[in-house]
Amino acid sequence: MRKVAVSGVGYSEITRGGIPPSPERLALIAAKNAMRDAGVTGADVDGIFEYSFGYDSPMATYVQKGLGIPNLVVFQDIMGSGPSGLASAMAAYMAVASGMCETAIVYRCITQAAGNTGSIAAVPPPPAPGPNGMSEALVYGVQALIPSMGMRMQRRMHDYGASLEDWGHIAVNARKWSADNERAVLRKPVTMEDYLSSRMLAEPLHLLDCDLPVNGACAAVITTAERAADLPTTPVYIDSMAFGTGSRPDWSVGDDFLFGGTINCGETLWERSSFTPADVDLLELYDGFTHITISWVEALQLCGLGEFGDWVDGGRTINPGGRVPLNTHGGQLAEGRLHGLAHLTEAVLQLRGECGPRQVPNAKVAAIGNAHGPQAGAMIVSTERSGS
Amino acid sequence: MTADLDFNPPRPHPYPDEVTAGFWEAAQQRTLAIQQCGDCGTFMHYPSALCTNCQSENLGFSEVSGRGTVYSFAIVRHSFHPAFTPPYVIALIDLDDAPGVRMYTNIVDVDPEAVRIDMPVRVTFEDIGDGTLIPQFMPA
Ligand SMILES: [Zn+2]
Repeated sequence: MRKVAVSGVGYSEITRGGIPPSPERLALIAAKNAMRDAGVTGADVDGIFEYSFGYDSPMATYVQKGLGIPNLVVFQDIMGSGPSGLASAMAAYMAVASGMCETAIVYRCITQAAGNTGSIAAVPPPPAPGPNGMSEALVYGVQALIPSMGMRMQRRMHDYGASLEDWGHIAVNARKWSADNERAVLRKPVTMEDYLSSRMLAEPLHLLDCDLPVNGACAAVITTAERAADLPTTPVYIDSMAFGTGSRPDWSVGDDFLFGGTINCGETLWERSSFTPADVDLLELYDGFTHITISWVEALQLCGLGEFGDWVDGGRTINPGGRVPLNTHGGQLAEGRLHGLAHLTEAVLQLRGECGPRQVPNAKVAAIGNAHGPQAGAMIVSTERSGS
Repeated sequence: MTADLDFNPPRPHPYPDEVTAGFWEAAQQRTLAIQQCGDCGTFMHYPSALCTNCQSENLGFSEVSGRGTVYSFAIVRHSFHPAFTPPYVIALIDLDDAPGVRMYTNIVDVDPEAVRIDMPVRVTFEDIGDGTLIPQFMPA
């Protein structure tokens, strides 16, 4: 396998409300910015991978046309059952590492209207559910994932003695970081009191446990380490990646309701990695819901299962200046729901030392986790070619 | 929980297919029946097209007692669907006599604040507006 690096990242603007956005424009702007960042042109690109729900993002060949890419030797439009936006970068890694292509563009574009899987946006339910948990749940008034996340929190309190403040630390932390992120939509600080008094949606799940639907896109350029060395940016190498589903996977009645596939994913990731959990300088972990973020901290073995409450130390561990900074862009809770890929693009900017007032000093290794349930995915990235 | 058909859209209905129909047909007879492998005895829910243990296609539906315990629950306080009026309880139930089976339900005929994990419950059947019955659970 060839060594692979991320050579460029880019964003569109991130907004809410206003005139209905064009996903085509958002995706093209993000991809164009990523290519400029990497110093590549359309002629250099031969692969595109994108993740979408199907109606929220333009297909790969549309973006190819806009970017002036003469031909794609590989491309894939990845559907919503993958590990959220990171799935696009995971596919590109496999293609570049195996030699199927040289330089790939990946993107995740999402609009406020399409973001309802994780939000409280009141849109009608899909009309034709199949034989799976999501469809039966609908018969019982379980729309989207919010009530099911509330049930995970309830069970976690039962199994591990978790407290509401555990999840609150994720919500409070997000705004501490987003205060220094100009891309972020929500930059006003929130306190633990704000969290605990925010609207109850599916008790014990509060409004501030949920991410914020936005209109926006982010993108990355993924290429060989060899090619990356000739480009203007500091290469951020993809050290390892893994998927995880767990046994008898299902969002509602899979064998591991609390963690889904994240534990299997973490185990595979560290088997493949040249680093260890102790090497991690920063965490960029999916936060469509705060429960998911805590699952990832534990599944990636930053602490034992059920030990997050002690590990987070009242927020000090993950806050600015903390030992293991978490979601340094404010995550989807505060920057907005770019749906997973922005956890990678922020990690890249941090490792390149380009994050200004929110820069984590001397950050060399970042761990990224995406999604939950039956569709977990994770990645270790570093400016070092490999760990010791 | 009751849909007011003059003002509200109907509740979402089950969509039985060739794999899941046995579950919903039994419910219509006020019976809780869970898919079971005719070869190895494994219970499965949601119904599967192959036994998830031995991959047999010899699958049927077996009546169970309808008794179980609450694995987890949440009190829904936000209106996620116009046919459901908060507050209501959604829950996952572990069935007593169908090992490995966990199923979605609402807990009905209960003060939402009184629901607890591990609480014993039993099945009941609710008419969701047009004679369609769905399994629900209530305190045992
Ligand atoms: Zn069997």
